[in-house]
Amino acid sequence: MNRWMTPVLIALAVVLFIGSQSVFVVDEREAVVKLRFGEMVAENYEPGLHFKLPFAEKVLKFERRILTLDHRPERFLTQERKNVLVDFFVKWRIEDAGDFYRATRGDMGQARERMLEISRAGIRNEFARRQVEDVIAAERMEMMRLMVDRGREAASALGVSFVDFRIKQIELPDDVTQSVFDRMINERRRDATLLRAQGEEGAERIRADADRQREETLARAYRQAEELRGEGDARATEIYAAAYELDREFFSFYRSLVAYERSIGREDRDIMVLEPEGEFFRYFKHMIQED
Amino acid sequence: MAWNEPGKNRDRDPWGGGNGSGNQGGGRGDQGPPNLDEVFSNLKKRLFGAGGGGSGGGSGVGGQGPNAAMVGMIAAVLLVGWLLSGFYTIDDAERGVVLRLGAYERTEGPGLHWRIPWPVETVEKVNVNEIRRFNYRSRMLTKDENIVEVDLNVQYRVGESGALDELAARLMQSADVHEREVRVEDVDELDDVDADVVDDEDMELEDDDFGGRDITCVYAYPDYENGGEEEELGPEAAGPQTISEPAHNYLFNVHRPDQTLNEVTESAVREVVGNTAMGCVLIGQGRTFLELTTHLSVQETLNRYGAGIEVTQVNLQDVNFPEAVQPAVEDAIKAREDRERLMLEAEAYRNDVVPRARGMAAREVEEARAYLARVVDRAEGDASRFTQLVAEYQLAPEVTRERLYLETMEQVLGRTPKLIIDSSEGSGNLLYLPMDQLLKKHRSDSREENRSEDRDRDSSERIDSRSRDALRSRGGRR
Repeated sequence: MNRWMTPVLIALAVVLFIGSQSVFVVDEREAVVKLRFGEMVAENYEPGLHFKLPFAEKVLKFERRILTLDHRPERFLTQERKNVLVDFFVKWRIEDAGDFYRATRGDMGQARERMLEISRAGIRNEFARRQVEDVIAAERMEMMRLMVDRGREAASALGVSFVDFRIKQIELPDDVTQSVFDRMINERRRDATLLRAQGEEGAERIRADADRQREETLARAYRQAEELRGEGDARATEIYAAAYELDREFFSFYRSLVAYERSIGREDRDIMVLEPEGEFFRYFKHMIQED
Repeated sequence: MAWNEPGKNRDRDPWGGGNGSGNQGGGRGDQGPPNLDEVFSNLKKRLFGAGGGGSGGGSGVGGQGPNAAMVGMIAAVLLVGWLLSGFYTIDDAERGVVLRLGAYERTEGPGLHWRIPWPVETVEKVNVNEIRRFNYRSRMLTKDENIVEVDLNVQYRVGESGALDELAARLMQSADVHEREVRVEDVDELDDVDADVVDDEDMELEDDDFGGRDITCVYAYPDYENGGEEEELGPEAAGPQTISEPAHNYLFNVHRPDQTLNEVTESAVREVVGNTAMGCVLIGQGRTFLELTTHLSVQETLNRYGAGIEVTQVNLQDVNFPEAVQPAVEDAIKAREDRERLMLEAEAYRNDVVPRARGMAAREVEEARAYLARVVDRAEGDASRFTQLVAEYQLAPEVTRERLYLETMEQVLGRTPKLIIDSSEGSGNLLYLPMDQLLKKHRSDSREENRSEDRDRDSSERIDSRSRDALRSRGGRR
């Protein structure tokens, strides 16, 4: 039985080996070219199973999906000679495996390098024509679009589709960043100073207002008070005058008496030194003399 | 030569070609498992030779009987095992993308499925429900060349292109849109100084004195209504595949799609921030705007790549000043507080001073009123007394006059210490009067008296008023 089985198994193995060498599978994700002794004989396979001549032909597979080309950030000069650090990436994919192989001999590194060159030259060009402000804001999108157009033209020769170009980051160099910080700090300080001064202003206004209100209130009160006092005096005077007009002579006499009564002898230091004369002493003296 | 040449009908079933035998029938479709009986008979034919062996019998009774049967059994078991290995399950959250010899065949939903086992068909499972996150935090430049620190969180999953229209509509609503520019206006920079705090009654304060600044945030967005960037960049920018099946696109269109999302997000948020003034990025309304615009931009770019990714949410975690500027910012915030504090202190001062002044003023006025009343009433009193007295006096002027005089003098002299010197006759005498001693003596006397008098001042006053009444009545008595 072994005698019989062995050759069969060997034959089967040989058939399998040759069979495996004569087919290949193309994945959805792959772009493939077939080479016969280094010469390209077929390209642009659909995904699936395909045949080739065993040993004589071989296949080269490339990534067919969209790839990212992301290099480290580089410096570019803007129109006003400012040095900005630009980080960008390129989205590309192999459109035509045949063209790609013809242009680069299937070397992905070379393809990347070519595209990097295209992008760099483009950016340098576009930046040199623009101010920092425009690069950052207004014309960023337009620039990216221009870069895509430019890239597409150049890339089609490589069998490559230049899908997108995007600026990831535009950074000012460190010393400029520092001065931006300084400026921002100074702006904050300016605001802070303004706020504090406004506070002082407001406070002073309020205090002044308060003081003014106080003065006004007091003055108004003074005026009102004096008016009232004057009115009182006037009315009193009127009343007195009306009464005293009744008998001027008696008024003098009466008022004098009241004045004596009120003014003399009220305080301790009064002491009277009198001569016993006058109305009051009319009888007083007589009596002494008659004794 | 090849039954499956490039570009030709690749729907034809390549199954069986892998076995290397050329005699398979054309009847086997893609629809289900191949007929097991047929496979068996084919296998037998191959193993036992074309002519030999039993024809169709279950038990081989040929020359090599037991051996052949053994081999056949093993082969059958292997075959069944191989076919059974074609079963697989798809989780609820997943989609299974079936590849037949590298070519996309179909996408299966959740459940139990069968595929032609390896190496013919393979399944790649893609989780379409899982929400993935990407956090991005970085410094970036704004339009006015300031630097802000942005912390962004993007949530996404494998999915359809996302609701671009709805997003665009929300963006339009979120702000004032004018000729492809979005304006977000806010007045929250240096405003809210409150003229009304200062402004009480008569105080005049111009609003401008403390007025804030209006910020207008302008962002020129792509023309979403007309297809946005996609339109402008042309259709050839799309990925290699055009089937609109998320799991398929996710696998086959973009190399490392998640990484791509990260890069696109970074680019988009920087673009948006770079297109907006710092003040706008920092205010609340501007944030919503920033989120929406970034969302739109990322989604649109990914659609262009055909990445099969749906951005579900863009959250702006934080937008802030860079660390180096933080202290200054905090100081500015403190300054705002200081401003309030200073004004409040001043208000406290005002609240202290003004009411007191009002109180003092009221006292002043009241005192004046009191004076008025007092003076007038006293005048009236005096006048009344005098008038009445005059009436009586005129009836008996002589007597009244003398009586009044004497009574007054009596009172005055009665309470005053006095020396009576008759100098009219003993002329030329010079008297020495020790005034000091006289006074001192009198004072100490009266002080003692005063002390006792204090106790019954009331009564003495009463007596005083009584004596006045007496005076009047006596005057009235003629």
